[in-house]
Amino acid sequence: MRLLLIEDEPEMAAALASALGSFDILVDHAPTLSQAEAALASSVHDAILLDRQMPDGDGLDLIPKLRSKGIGLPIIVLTARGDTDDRVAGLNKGADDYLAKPFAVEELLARLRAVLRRPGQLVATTLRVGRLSFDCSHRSASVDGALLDLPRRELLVLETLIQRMGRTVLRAALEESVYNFDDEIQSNALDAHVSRLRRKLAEADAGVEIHGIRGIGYLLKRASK
Amino acid sequence: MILRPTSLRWRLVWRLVPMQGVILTLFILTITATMREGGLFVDDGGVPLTTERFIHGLRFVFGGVILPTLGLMTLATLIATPMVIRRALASLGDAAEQAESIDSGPPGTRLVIAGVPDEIRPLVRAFNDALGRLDDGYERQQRFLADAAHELRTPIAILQIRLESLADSSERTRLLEDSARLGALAEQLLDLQRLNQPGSHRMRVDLVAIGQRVTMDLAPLAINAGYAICFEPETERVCAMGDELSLARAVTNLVQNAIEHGGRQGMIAVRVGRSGTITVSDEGAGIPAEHRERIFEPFHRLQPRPRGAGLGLNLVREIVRWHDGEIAVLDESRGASFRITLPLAQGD
Repeated sequence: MRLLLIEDEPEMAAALASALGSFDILVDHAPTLSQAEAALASSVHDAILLDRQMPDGDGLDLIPKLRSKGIGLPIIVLTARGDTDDRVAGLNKGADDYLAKPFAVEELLARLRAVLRRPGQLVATTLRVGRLSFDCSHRSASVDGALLDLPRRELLVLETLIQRMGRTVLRAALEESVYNFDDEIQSNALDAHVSRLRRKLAEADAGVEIHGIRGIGYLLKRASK
Repeated sequence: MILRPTSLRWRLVWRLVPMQGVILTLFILTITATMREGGLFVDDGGVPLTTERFIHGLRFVFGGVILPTLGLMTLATLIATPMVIRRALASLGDAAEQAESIDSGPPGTRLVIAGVPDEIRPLVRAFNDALGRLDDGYERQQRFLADAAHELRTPIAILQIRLESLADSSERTRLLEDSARLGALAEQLLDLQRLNQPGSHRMRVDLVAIGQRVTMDLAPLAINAGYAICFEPETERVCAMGDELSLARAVTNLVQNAIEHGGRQGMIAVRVGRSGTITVSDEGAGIPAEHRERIFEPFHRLQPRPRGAGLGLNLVREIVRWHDGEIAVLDESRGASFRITLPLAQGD
């Protein structure tokens, strides 16, 4: 995946590029809006990270410009302002998401995955945590190359958790991804899936932990040493 | 009514009465002199004016005319002056009342100048100008605070990203907690600045939703630090009137406080009660009874340690106070428990 980062703060750009680099995401940096427009002409990017305070104007003004040129790339606005009004303004201008500084890289990754998953932006990615790999396009999980044999619902649980790895996933969101509308959900069915999944991951020594947060949901993270 | 030497009344009476005396004396002396020159005194049986008769005349003039008149005038002055002054100064009452109502709240108050006597207008104007300068100073300070908090966001963001790129270690976990606290402090300063702006108002907020979001956001930090964390709402919705962002930040601060001081083991619980309470508890060493009052004072810390600003709990209290709520440390057998109580929204 290749991103265009439009950001005037060189330190911020460098930190972000190196952090995203460790997730196999290539980052091109544009320090001004005009350079960003030039870079976008090459159309090699999958998404745009856009800072608001740019030396040559408000980053938000770039969005309608790009849209009118037919550039439909997902745009996540990153800003140090982040008031509610600000957020609404960003989304109204056509941004796909809005993230206030400071933010967790994992949060940014989760938002990126979410905007890329939208129709027309399907991108195959393999997510890795610990020794576990999850292939999103084939929906399969493996540890050190050995495929894990998981039933469909456990795979769905794992997919949802791994897409927000390191972050909390609400119980309702998990249930939504595992069950259809017409499925009758038993109150502890999800917990049963999770505990079976947890046991299988431990048996395969996948190097990940699934934590339950009572009253909230679950969280998947790399096992602490 | 007491005439104090510093009162306007006393000063007027004190200057008017002798002045009236002098004028009256001069007036009568002039008249008697004129009469003598005109021969009016010698008309009486052709007796020439002797010293004796002159003194007698003077006595008559002073004792019979000047002194009684002066006495009457003094009395009149004493009665009239306070009345005049009271009338003239009545309009200052409004200004005084306005001045009374000025506090450290939102700026922009000025004393009304209409109806104030001309002589006192310069004072009121000067006072208003001074208020204006204070307002400017206040605004500059507020703007500085907001700008500083905004400016802090970018370096904190860079810090956060760099820390996240570090290899997993307990040091990284702690550093991430620190940067989260730093971020929350900057946000709380912005919250207070925003709430103290005119026009900020309370809306209907759901405390259950706030508690859930905060628990969800901080669960990774808590779990990485070695805690289990849970959210226990007593009911599905608890509506209060408030500012959602700042309330969420206040609860965030309490959870971060629990993460830092909870002993890195056991459960951190966020509970929402139907009576409008949000409680954050840990299972750490707790807070000794003698510290429970002072813990909300700025820069108070239980023990001197290099971490934490000592400002966090104070900001929480400030935000809770803005909501007309209360914050208390509960008396628990183990661990620390902070409870925020907010007035419930009507009509639920």
